[in-house]
This record gives sequence, structure tokens and C-alpha cells, in this order.
Amino acid sequence: MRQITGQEPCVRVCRSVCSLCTPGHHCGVDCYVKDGKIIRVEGTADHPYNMGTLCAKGSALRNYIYSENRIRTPLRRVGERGEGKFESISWEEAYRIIAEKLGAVKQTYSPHSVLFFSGYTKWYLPIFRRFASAFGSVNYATDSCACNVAGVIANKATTGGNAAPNFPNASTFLGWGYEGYFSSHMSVKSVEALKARGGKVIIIDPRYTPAAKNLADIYLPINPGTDGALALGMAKLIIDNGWADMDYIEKYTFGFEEYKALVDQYPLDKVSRITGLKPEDILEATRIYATNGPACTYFSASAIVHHINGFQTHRAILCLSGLTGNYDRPGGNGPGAYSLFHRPISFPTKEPAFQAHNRPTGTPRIGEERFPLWSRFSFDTQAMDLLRQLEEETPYPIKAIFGMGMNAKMFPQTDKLLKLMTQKLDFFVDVDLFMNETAKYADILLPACSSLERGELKNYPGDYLFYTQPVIEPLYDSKPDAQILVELANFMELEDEQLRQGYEAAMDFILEGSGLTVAQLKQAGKPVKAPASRPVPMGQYLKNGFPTPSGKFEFCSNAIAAIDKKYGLDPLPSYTDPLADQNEAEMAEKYPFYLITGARIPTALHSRMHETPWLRKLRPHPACEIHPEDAQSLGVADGDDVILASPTGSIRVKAMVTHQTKPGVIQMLHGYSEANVNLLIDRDHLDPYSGYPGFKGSRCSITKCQEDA
Amino acid sequence: MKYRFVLHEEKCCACASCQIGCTDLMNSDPLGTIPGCRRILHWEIPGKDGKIIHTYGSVACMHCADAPCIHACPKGCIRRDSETGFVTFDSTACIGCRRCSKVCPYDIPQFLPEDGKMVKCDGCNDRIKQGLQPACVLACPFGALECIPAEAYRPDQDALPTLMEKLKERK
Repeated sequence: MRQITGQEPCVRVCRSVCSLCTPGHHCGVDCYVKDGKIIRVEGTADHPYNMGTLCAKGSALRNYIYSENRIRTPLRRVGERGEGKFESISWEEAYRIIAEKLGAVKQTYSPHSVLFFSGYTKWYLPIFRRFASAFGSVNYATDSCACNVAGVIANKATTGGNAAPNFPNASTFLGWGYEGYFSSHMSVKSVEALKARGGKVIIIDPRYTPAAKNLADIYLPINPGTDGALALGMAKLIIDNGWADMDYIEKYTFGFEEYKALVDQYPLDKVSRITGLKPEDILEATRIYATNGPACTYFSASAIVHHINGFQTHRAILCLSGLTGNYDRPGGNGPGAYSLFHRPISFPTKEPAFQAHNRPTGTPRIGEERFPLWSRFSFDTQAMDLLRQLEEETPYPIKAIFGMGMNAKMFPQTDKLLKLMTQKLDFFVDVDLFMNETAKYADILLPACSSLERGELKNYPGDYLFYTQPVIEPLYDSKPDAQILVELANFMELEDEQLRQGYEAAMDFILEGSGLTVAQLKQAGKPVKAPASRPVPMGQYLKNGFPTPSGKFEFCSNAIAAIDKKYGLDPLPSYTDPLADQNEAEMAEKYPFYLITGARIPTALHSRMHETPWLRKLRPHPACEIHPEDAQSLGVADGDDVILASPTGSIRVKAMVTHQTKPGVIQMLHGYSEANVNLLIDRDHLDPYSGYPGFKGSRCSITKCQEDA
Repeated sequence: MKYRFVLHEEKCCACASCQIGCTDLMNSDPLGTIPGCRRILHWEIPGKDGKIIHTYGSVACMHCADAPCIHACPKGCIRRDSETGFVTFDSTACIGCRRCSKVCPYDIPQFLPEDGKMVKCDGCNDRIKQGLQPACVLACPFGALECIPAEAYRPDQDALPTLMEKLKERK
């Protein structure tokens, strides 16, 4: 045991990034290296994003990197799928088998019968997309088929752009499902700064979180899944009280009369009944939102859209910013300019061109016929329809999956998906750092390395670009994901010269026009502001028109109206029950609890850190949150074993009795192999607009275990 | 210069960044699982009106003015650094008798299963002397933990008597 100060002569300090969570963060880290090993990780003090800070997960980075569970060499399956029996093979042999097996599927069926699917960490996605296109498959998907993008599409279908909160100029913060401490630690400073200058904070969340305690001036403990009704009710109050910005509405919006007729159906007493909130609290929150100067709204990546009514709820919340004239105005929500690697940037890059090259068309993607709105706005497959297509083989069979960090646990009814993959696939290749549940089903498994073992291009707020250098050599026989894809593209002689030139050449192409090259960035060794940076002021849409069919902010969405009527999608942001498909009397009686999955805890993200010892130690057992009143009536004490169940599956977990959740609401974290709550989510419990599962709104039962495990 | 730790309760969320940051510093073996010398707490306690009060906090050695552990150790492992004021230790002679733990009102000294010896927070004494922040303070993303010169400590604002009492009750 020793106290590393960084001033020991044998220790070298290297900059890199933590890529444990979503690409929207990826904080800068300083790694202390001694004898080729990382012995200490700290946040980079002058990094333009995290400015020295790290979350608990980031501080455990080296414990994650040096996991015993790392895949060390390329592996070939020798046991049954899922059994986890493999033998080591060479990279050359692995590439030969992959080329042969994928080629066979392509020849026997079609290139579209191969699904290219990526989970985290996404840094190689431009390369992976090009690989799929060069192979000739229309089927390319990422974890975005169940996270964040539904909100992006809802924004686009309403405004044509995005809807990023403009904190620095806001007087009011509407934190809808906002829990920044555990999911977006840098945002807390922005909210604190707003409060410090006298701003007001409204937090709407069924869960009483540290954000609700530390930051909220008004906290609305809403009944889960009823947010859409609240947004419509708030809209009615805003109109009825004369708080709407009628000048903005007249000049810049489309469909106001129809929208007004919709919100008129949501008077305060009805909204209070649906949401479980006091009328006076709804009125006060609405008054502050609408009258206390510029107000920006926070949209969570998943809290809202993980309901089967989530897409429309997101739209209903966004419509409040149009109603009050807060969209595309300072202190409101802005459309943003461009994006690069899932982060905003102020100037155009060639990432879209790089990704679009040779993208196959003409064959329906998985989910295209079932989720037309998704397919209208996304080039990706909606893989929430994968399970059905694997089973029914319509409109064509899926016979192989090329996974990059594929995680079956992110799919509803994981067990059913893995069973179908076992039965139906001719071939499954997966690339991962760890031997996890999904990896065990792979026929060929390739070892990837972590962000600390590779170089990659990142971008950060303020148009900073950073090309990292490896802190240590890739551990064991692992390689950077992009390198694996490029080597394989060359081995398979895919017809795409640009792809085959490699990752750095691709990044140089993408950066054309930025004023920087990979070589320059490598030499700099730290984040550099791009010379092309030209921050776009608020008001561009108001000045030049919205990029929507009407040229305006669309309360009534023309994009949705254009979808075939047989799908029954409503152009207005109407409210439907979050459990609409589970409300039959028998179902409601047998499964009386409302199940929310995936509310963040500080020491985990999805399933990625459940096996990281330092973090797991802090919360060793999968546990569900249950309100003391429910616990008492069920005779359940804190720490008791309970069974959570739905018609599709059940898991055994510990009960965590807490006032953080509401009576009648069970909260369960996802991603545990031994207690995967997604077994309880029905594969067809999906939002018809986005295809997203109702991860945060479905029925369950909870019973105390009678016998000991 | 002498130093004091300060917890700003209203900024804390019990995220354990402090604890993990400490773990990362204290443990130079990448695969080891030595717990950090901090621990976090989340209490839900009914207030006078019956309403539940949530408390988030982070606890480590209080570096007590009259530290009972110093007197309890039969081997003289625990001492006060006269420069920083922190209660430090050298466990070379530790026999694992756990007297330090028994007398500590806050249950701070812990025992490593590997060698049966005591470990506790020493305020990152070496780092402080080199002008660096303690690992936990550095790791807190919310500015909830500070290590400040003793003369800047404001007992009326920085002391947390209720929290300290509850910690003693819960030992």
C-alpha cells in the first residue's frame, strides 16, 4: 500500500479518456503508469469537459481494465452455445473462419441475413457502419435502437432539429426525469449555477433522488408513465392563464388550434387524478415554468422514452417550449448545429458522408415495416423487432450476427432471444472485452481492448478535438475494435478502399474542413480547439425557418401525419396509458405493481460494471426498491429475498425498502446476469412510434421468498 | 499547517466517488480489493412532522482532537502528525488486536483480511505535505468534500453535530 503522488521518478503520467459510460461524457483521465501498469487514475484537470472531475465509475477505471474476466485471445467455441467452452485460436484463423461463415450466409441467403449489431463503446461505429455496407447488408443497428434516439426523432418530428437545454441563459430549469448526479455529473454544476443566480428548479420524477433533494425548488413525485398527461395539463393551464407566447405561436408554430383542442381535454382535476400530483403543485410548477423568465427543459436519454407512450410524451413536453416561446431562444432549448460521434459540434464534418457511402437500400431493414416512423428518421435497423424476425423469418431469415460488444440483456425477454439465436443462427461472431453472458453464445469471440489501450478521436463541447494515445499496450492478445474491423475488411477483400485504409485515414477524411489533422492532434497530445469552430447563436430557425415540412415548430407533426394511416399514429402529442396493453382485469390483478427498470445507481452503468469488484462491493446484491408501505403489507423486510415476476419471467432479488420509490412502484436495476429484469419485459411491449420497449413502465408482481436460497 | 476535512451535506449524493477514489489511491495492486478508507451513507429518518428526511454523507477518520485510538493502540502504531494535525498510522508493528476499532466512536479503523492488520484514513498525509489534495476530495465531482486549512474552519457552519451524533448511535 502506498500513496501515489505522481512525483515519484518511476511513474509516468499519460492522458486518455474513460469510456465506461455514454459517448456524451467520456471524461479525460490522467493515468499514472509504473512498469507498464496503470497504478492510479485521476481526472484531467485542464480537460475541457470534465475539468478534473470523475464519477465513481471513472475512479474505478483501472479495476475495470484489469478485470480477471478479460478475453485474452481469439476464441473458437467448442461447447454448446451459451456453455462458455472455447479454445484459443490465432487472429488469422479467426479471420478465416469469419470470412468463410459470413460468406456462406451471404451466398445461401443474402447479405441482409447478416445483422451487424453494436453495443458500447461505439467509438468505432463509422468503421463498423462502412464494414456492414461494404459487406452489403441493410441491417446495421446499435444500442440506440433502445436508447436516446427516440427522443432525437421526437425532436426532429416536431422542430426538425434537436432540443438541447441552454443553461447559461435560463432562469428556470424544468428537469423532467432529471437525476444528474449519477447519470451526468457535469450537469449538476450548471443547475447549481442557475440556482446561485436566483433561478428556479422544477424536478419531475417518480423517484426521490439526490437531485430532487439537493436541487429542486419544486419536486413533483409523479405517477410513473403519466408525464404526457401532465405536459398536456400544463399546456392547458398555460393557455387558460394567458401565459402562452401568442406572438411566437402565431409566427413560428404549426397546428396550434388542433393542439389547443387536445390539451382542452386535460383539465387540472383530471390531470391531478392521473398523475397523483396535487393540483396546487401542478399549478405552481406551471406558473414558474411559464412566467419566470427563459426556461430550459432537460430531456433524459431514456427516462421518458422507455415507456410505450414515451415518444408522444417526449413530444408533449417539447411542445411546452413552443407554447411558451422558449424553443430556439436564449435560455430555452436550442436546435444545435451538427454532431460528431454522438456529440454536438458547431461545424459540419464528413462523418455523415463517411457513414452514408455505399449504404445499401432496396430491402426492408429489420423492423422497417413494423416501425415506419423510426425507419423514416433513422438509417439503422430497429432491432427491437429482431426477436420476431428470427422466429418468423419474415420478410427473410436472419442467419448470422456480427456483434461488437453485443449485449442480449438489453433486449426484452433476453432468454427468448438467446434461445432463438442458438436455434436459428448459422453463425455468431462477437467482439468484446469480457467473457459475458452474450459472448458465451458466440461461435468466434474476439478480444477488444479498452480506451486506455488504444488511440481514438474524440470531440468535446467548445469544438475541442482530442486524439488519444495508448497509455499501455493492449493487454494480452487484444486489439482496438477498429483495427479488428479494418484487418478483417482487408482479409475479406471487401470492396471499400477507404475502409481498408484504416481508422486514422478515415478520421482524417471525417475531419476535412475542421482545420486539424490526425497527425496534428497526435502531436498536440491534448484536446485542441478546432479552427473551424463557429458557434451558432440561438434563433437560427426563427430567422431562417424550421427544417420541418411546414417550416415551423409543429405541434401537429407533418412527419407523423405522412405515415400510412393503418399504423394509427397521431400527429398530435396525445396521451395514452403506459400500461395500455397490460390492463386486462386478470393481468392487473395478478401483477398489481408498476415496474420501473434502469434508474441509475452511482456505481453501475447498464451491465458494464456489475462485475467490477470495487464497484460491485458497494452494492453486492441485485436489489429492488420497494416502498415501506408495500413492504409492510407484504411482510417484507429490508434485505429479504423476493421474487419479481411477470407473465414472461421472474427473478429473485433482495428487497431494498426505501422512501425513494412510491407506493405501488417497484424499481429494479437492469443488467444483472443472475437477476436480469428484462426477462420480465414482454417482447411486444413496445412504443409503436419508436419501437422502444416499456422498460420503465410494465406490470409485475412481488412476493416474499418463503424458503432460503 | 494544520488541516480539517469538511463535508457539505447539501452537495453530497452518496455516489461513493470519494470511496472509490480512495480505494484507487490506497491500493497499488490493480486486482486487489482493499476497501477505501471512506464510506458513504444514505439515511431515511422521520423528522418531527413525520416527513422523511433523506441524508447523504461521506465518512472517514475525524482526526479527533483527543483521538482515543492513539491511546488504545498497545504498539504505538497510531500517532498525530504535528505538522498537519492528521491522525496517521504505521501498521508495521500492528498485532491486529482491534482496540483502535473498539474505541473509535465512528467505527473507522478497518482490518485487512489478507494480513489482519489495521488500515484507516490518514488524511492523505503525504499528499497534503506535497501540496496535493486528498484522494477523496479530488475524486468528489460535486465539491461536497473539502480539505481546508484549520484556521479557515468555521465551526458554526462546517460542523455537522447531528450527523456526528447519529454516527455514534449507529456504531
